[in-house]
Amino acid sequence: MADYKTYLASSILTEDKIVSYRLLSRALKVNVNAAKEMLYEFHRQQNGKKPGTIHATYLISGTKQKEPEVANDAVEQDGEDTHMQSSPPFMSSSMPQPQETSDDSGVLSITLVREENLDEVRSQYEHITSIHVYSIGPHPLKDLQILSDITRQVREICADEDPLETASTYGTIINKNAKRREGKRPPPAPAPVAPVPAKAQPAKPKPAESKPEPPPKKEISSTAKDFFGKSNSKPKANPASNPSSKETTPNPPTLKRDSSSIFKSFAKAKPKLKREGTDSSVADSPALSPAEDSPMKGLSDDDEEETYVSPAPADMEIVNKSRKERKENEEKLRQMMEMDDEDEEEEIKEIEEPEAVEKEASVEKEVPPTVSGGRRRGRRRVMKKKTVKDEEGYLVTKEEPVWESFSEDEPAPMQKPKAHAPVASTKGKKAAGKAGQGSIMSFFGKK
Amino acid sequence: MAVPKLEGSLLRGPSDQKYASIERQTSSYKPLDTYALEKEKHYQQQFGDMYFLRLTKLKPAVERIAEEAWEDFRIGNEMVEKVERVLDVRQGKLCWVAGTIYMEMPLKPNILDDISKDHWISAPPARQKYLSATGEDLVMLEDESGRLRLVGAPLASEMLVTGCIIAVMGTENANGDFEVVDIKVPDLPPQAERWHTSEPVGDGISRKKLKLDEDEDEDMDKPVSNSKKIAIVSGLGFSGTDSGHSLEINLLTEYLLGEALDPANQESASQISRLIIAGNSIALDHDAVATDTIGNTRKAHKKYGYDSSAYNPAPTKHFDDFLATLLPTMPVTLIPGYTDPANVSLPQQPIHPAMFPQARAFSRGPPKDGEETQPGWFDTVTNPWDSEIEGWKVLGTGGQNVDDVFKYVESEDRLGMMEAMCRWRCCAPTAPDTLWSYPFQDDDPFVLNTCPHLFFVGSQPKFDTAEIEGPAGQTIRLIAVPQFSETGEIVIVDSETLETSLVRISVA
Repeated sequence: MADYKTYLASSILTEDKIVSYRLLSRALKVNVNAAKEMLYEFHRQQNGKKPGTIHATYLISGTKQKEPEVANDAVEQDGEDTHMQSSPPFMSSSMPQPQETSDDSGVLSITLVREENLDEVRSQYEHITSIHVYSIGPHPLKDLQILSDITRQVREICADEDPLETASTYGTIINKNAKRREGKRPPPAPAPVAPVPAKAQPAKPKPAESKPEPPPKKEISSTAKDFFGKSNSKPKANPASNPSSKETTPNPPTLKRDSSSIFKSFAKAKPKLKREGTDSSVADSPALSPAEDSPMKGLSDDDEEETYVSPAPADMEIVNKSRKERKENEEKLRQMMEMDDEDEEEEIKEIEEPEAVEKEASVEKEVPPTVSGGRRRGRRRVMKKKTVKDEEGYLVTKEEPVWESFSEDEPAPMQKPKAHAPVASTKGKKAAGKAGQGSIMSFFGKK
Repeated sequence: MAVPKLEGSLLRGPSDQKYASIERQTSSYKPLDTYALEKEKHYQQQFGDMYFLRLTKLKPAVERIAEEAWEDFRIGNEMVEKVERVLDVRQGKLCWVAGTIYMEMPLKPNILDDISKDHWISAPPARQKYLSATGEDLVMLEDESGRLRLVGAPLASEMLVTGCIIAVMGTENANGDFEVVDIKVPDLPPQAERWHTSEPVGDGISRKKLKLDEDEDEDMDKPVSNSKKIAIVSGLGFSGTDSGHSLEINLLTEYLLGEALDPANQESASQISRLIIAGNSIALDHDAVATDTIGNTRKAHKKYGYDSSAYNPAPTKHFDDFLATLLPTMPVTLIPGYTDPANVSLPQQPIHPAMFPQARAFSRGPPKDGEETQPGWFDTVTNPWDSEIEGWKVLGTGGQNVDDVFKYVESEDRLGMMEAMCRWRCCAPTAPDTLWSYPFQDDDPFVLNTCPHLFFVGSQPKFDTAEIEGPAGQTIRLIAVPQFSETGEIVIVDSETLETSLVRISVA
């Protein structure tokens, strides 16, 4: 029991800190109520030795005497409100009329008070149900709000504790029904946090709470998956098969960097494509949108695990085969990329071109226009981009064919998504084709 | 230090006494998603449909009441007659008709005014009231056929706002105005009994002491009733610039955790089985908004995407800490309010748990196929929000609905407005006129189909409560929940009797 005294002495007298009962309870791993008593005892002892060395704050609860200010309110209202006062009660109100609702008898007042003001505040109370030392410190507190900083210290001490486990140590009310999501690491608190094993929690594991698994993930085509898998789990056995690029060292990391440099050069081109697509309000080629979406995966919490799954041994053959093919592709790509800038621009144009074709094609699908009132009218099918939130709250952009009516005097390609576009009516989901993330390779396959 | 001996006092030296672990009461909780919007939201629709939907839903109810009341009503020799449409009212004939109220108020914000002006000026400061001092306000009754101006004494005594559905009896005078003799409202909707749809769970289990080793503190004079409590707090007001009440919030946390005060008070805190946060948890930081209204200054340093220098993560960080501290010991329901990071228009959709990196560990997991989704331990919900807690039907809002009705009427009586909403059977009558709202097409969810047992509204200037009764024996407990940041008060509702009490936290 003596160690609390040494702790308090070193904290308060030496380090000049304020200690609250919560801080003490966390530091010594004792019940909060015991900590309150320790604070009291230390305060009493120290001030007994030398008065005025320790200053305390107290927390008082109970019912207060009625405050007189209630009456003032009513007077004020009378002054400014003239019409309503005379009017009869509203409707068939069954409300008990002007009854003193601000009756303080049912109010539990909790007041934090300095030692110096303790007697004054106590006199305001009609009945005190509890009183204890809240904190002690070496100086009288000018601003009690400083105490809120202690909460932060408490949090730091407890940063690596599981609140569900330690609650009973400190005397916090425990709740056996508390349920947390599994497979989730509590986010790092200010201090580095050890991952809390989900099993440790007393709650029964609810199936619904288990690790989220976004269904779309599964639809990643094997090629895309293999691609990531490969670059990660590249066996050292066949370094010879590595593309002989300039800076090659037959190392998996390097290869990864290599391939990503290819991506990067495309990434540079991509925004350009994208912008063009949106400006003309015509959708990109279907292959592109999955590629656009793919960065979103990074937001999902559990992608990391899945992305780096190494291919199962049974797939090795296929993997090897596709790997070879892909290597050839990469080789070609690299060669293209290594050409000078002009060529690269040509490349980009080439990529863009199918876009334009697609755009045209999509607009051309139109219902034979009817001629009415000297004007050609009709409906045509255009691809529209649509951004929706999926079940998990992520934004997914997809394109859908939309029927748009047009008339002759409107310039055909400049269709704006105006109100008359029956967007709402095309709610019918686009078929499953777009549901998942498409293969990233189909993007490269284009060439 | 002459401290007189007191019961419940922990002003004593440490003893070897073991303190019992207290276990919190369980909460029976079934949130309803009446106000959840589809993931795909469309904003092309017209708002007029909402009025139409509301009128079709409520007209039969108000007509039934009016018919009963005025069946044999006669003035002189003239029997009162029912008129189907507002336009069918004939001059000089005693009749009654049901319709939607429309308040024509010069001080009310009007979108047509803005458009008719050539240039946009900066928005005028928000008004306290729309009421004009010179009495230029007109009360109209409208339906799909037309509009009728209402005049007469009964209007003065009746609380009327745009969007409520009522029936009026009277006659059209020579000016073409409708002289109102009497007014009827739909009154409270039918009320289901307690435990109507959800089952009482684990009711017999009272809390038990894990380490029973207690002595004198057990038999205190404080009556410890065995019933559960629900705590409602509003307007926590976590702010990035002003931390004036952070100590109060800490004390609130400690009280709810059962760490503050003495064992008897901790015991009563353990009866609080759920915390409901009713709006405005994050304070409005005015400096952040100021640059927006000017427009130009903002563009000057606008980068692509969002400007991280303008973002202050402190409020949500503190709020997250608050939630993460409480969640291990009690379930929390979070209703967004006007100042919270949710959409502004009603129904406000749940604040995404991703805002709270620590607290989200307790939130609901993603839905799985073929499994009933469990409400999250940390449940972020809509505003307005309805649910069943301990079998009671509960309806709660962040406070915008009452604050907006308040601008229409002279009264300061917030409970009266809440009562009026219940009797209009509409919890947000002024949407979509002056209260921003989603343009509903198929249903007006603000219409109350069933009568709640408990109706609370957050962010009100002061605490107030009352119980109202309906014609068929319905009872509703109305609670105006005060702003915690202003008053330091939280409301504790007894889940058996729906009696309320207050906990007031202050720093002397």
